[in-house]
Amino acid sequence: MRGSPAVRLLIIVIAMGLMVIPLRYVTSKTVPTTSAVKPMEKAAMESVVQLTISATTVLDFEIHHLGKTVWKGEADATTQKTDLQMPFPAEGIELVVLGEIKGGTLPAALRLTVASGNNAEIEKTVWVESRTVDEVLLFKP
Amino acid sequence: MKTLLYPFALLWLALSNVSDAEPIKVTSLSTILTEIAREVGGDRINVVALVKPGMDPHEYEPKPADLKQMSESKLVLASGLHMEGYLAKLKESTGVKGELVEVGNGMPTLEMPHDHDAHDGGDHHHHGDQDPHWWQSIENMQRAVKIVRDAFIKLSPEGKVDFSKNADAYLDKLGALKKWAKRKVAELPRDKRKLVTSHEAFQYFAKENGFTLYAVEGISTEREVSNKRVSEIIGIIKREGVKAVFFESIRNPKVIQEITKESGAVLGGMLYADGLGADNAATYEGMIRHNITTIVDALK
Repeated sequence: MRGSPAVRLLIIVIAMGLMVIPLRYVTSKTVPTTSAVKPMEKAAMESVVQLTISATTVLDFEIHHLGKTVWKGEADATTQKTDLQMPFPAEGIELVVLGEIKGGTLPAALRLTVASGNNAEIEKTVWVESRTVDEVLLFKP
Repeated sequence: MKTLLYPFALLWLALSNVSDAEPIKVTSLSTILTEIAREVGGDRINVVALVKPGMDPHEYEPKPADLKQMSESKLVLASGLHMEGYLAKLKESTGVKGELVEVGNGMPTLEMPHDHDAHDGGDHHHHGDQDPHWWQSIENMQRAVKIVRDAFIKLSPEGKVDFSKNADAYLDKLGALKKWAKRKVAELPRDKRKLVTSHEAFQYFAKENGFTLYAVEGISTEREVSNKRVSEIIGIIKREGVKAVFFESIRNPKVIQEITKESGAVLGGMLYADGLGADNAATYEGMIRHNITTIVDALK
């Protein structure tokens, strides 16, 4: 082996120093941190919730969940569906239904159903007596 | 000629009745009822408010000057459901000559929960079996408006049109407030609706909005809190993962502050439980908006 002993010693020290980083990572007690587990727990809490909507008249609608718009569109006599990823606790979920009637006769009926996992489909009907809809509906398994 | 004059005579009579009509004196023993009486009564009713914003109605006792006001009134409005523990004595002593309407007695009520540490003793107001804080439900507030309207019509039938019109306008405002409240509360997941407060004044709110209520004290604000109850509340907060706890405008927040230190929950803010307060809580709408925004934003 050629070269000065001092240079060789320096190379060995640097190489060992670099090995410390992965070794420390592998042997560290903090590898399975709680923050790494939390997203998995959160994902387990959330499930696919299927929403369907239909109405006896044509109306623009918005569905809000926990203050955010999760679905918007135009409802009519045909049934429309969407799948949402959200938690569905035993206490149930509340959906805010906002709508504006675009035509047709009043009173009109708006039907919203929620289905999640093994829970039976939950159906709610809103009777609309003015041109606007502003209701909070509770869906509890 | 005479028949031509009849319509003018009738008009003159009607106008003279309006201009001559003195406002009817009504006494209110609640800040909430004062607002209702002013909104529904308009110019036809002179409302004397004996319980002022920020006062604790649990601890209010009428003074001789208050008794005089009541004895001169055609109608006295009280919250009822034993909130005003002195009413029975007042009636016996004929302090109330006009009609006494205990508004809460005319609406569906919730039973008072077991009063924590009820056997601690002490000379306290006796509350009945029903929770008297009915105004924490907007639906009950709407019922109260109708009760006051009907009482005013009974007192002054000639004011029926005005009282009904004023009541309808106020009921519309309450309807809009109820819709806002439902939407705001819907921002909070139902599994997070756990309300820890100073005293048991939010049962109607809790029922209307899907909350579970944990109060440090019972219905009355007068009793001292026991260490046992404080420990129980700290245990509940830890077990249920409650993020924030709330104190009340007329109560000393010291106990609640201690609970936050021990439990890890944060201080969610001040709530108005027993009636109207100052600034943005000087009206019923302001009070409800303040309470709901404080609760929802702190527990999110």
